[in-house]
Amino acid sequence: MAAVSETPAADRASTAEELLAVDSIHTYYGQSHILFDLSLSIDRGEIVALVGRNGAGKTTTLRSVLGLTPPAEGTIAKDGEPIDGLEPYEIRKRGISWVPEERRVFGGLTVEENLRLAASTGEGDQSDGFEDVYERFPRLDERRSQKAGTMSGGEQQMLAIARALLGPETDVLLLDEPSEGLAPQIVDDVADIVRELNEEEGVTILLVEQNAEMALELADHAYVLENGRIVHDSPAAELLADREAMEGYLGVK
Amino acid sequence: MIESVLRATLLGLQLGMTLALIAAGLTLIFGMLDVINFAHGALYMLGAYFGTVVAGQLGSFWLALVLAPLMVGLVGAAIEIFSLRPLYDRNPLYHILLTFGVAIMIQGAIIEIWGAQSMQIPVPDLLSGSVSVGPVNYPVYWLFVLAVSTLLIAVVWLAIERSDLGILMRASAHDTEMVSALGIDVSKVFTGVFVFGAVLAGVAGVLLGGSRSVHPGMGFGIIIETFIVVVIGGLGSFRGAVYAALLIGLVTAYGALIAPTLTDLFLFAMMAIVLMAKPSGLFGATEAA
Repeated sequence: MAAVSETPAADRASTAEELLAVDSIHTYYGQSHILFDLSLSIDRGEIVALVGRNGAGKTTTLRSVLGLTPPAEGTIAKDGEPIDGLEPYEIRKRGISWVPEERRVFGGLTVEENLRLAASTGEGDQSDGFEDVYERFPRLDERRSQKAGTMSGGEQQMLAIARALLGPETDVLLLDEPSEGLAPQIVDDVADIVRELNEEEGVTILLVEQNAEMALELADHAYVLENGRIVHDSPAAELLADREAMEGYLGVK
Repeated sequence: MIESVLRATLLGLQLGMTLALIAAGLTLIFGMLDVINFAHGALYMLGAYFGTVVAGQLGSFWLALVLAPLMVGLVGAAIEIFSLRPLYDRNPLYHILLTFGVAIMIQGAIIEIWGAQSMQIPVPDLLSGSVSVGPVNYPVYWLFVLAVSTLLIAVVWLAIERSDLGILMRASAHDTEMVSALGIDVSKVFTGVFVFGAVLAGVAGVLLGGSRSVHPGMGFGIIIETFIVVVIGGLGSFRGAVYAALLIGLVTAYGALIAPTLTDLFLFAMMAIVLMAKPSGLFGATEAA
């Protein structure tokens, strides 16, 4: 690891319960090598930010965890159980949910249909989950029968988050660029929701963001990714306070 | 005059609805699996042959109508699981070559087992004879074919629009990867859709096997018409397939009335015009589900 961290992952793990452990993975897209010996550790109840410039490999890291672009080497474990090599649907059933970049709601389906689909994979009666979701996202309640594709970007983002929370219980939520393309005020709303989910529901969060300041203000811990490698690993506040690192890694002045 | 128009309309609707049964599977399979299934006509033909065998051995047309499509479904499951599944990540050309090969194999097997001569599924007494529809004396069996295929299409339509399974199908057609990340085993959905399409084609095979001749060329014969339907309706669109099938059925029937030798030309011209004016088909782009 290029940057020296004051609280390396191994130390934190001794005081808290490690939920997700990515260990030395290498991931390829076809022939191109995207992630190099990448390791991450996320403790239960944390918000972890994964920041870095465009093309650094942030989305690929999430896709590796989700089994969508499985790593060629290395291991990924959740609660100590290996999950690499599992199909994406099996990984979701182990409590790992995804809010993808550009939201990817099912545009031709109504809001309700989007949520019904997500809930259909859960066990037992999902109606409580539905009511919780509508309570948390009143905008979605108002728009139940509207086609998801006709909603604003902010509303689609809410739907993408709501969809990730239905179905099998979510232990860790992987959020990919949730602030992308949203007005500043809506970005604040999204940040509030992320914080609430973490504090009230105990959902662990791995947040990938271009908007590094937003992510670091929310996060407990931060990793910086550069050219497919982790180049910095520290508490988020520490990185946020280090103007030199912020500018060097992220171009934030 | 009115008589022949009425008769042509009934015929056209019947042809349209049976074509819709076949085209529905082809278009749903394309919409979800991104596979152009050249073996679809062969599955329809298998329905007719299985229907002939079941009706012959068990002596019941009704059993044939139920069992033969299910047998076609089993063949469909085998095709999807053992031959298509390993090829999903490949270039679509592989799918075309594979399904075309499967179609030839099925045709070869049919000639090997049942020979090249024509057969027909015996129709029960209840459905034989004819009945007057207004001024027209029309075969009961043809009305039965129209009724069964219309009912099936209506049920499928409702299921796609309303049921959880329909939601799943529309979502998978839109973004398969996202569906899998929601915890759904998409490979099962794929097999299900392929089998479903095969069963519908099998039903059409049994239904038409009772009124047309059952012969080893019928699979490749129907696939051309079905492709015209699916292209005009918009690849992947169920609604488009149904409307286009009715259109083709009626054009064929009226065409036979006006200029029998030019009917095929009409159909290809229609396809060409749609392709030039709206390459995605009548419902291709609008039904982004």
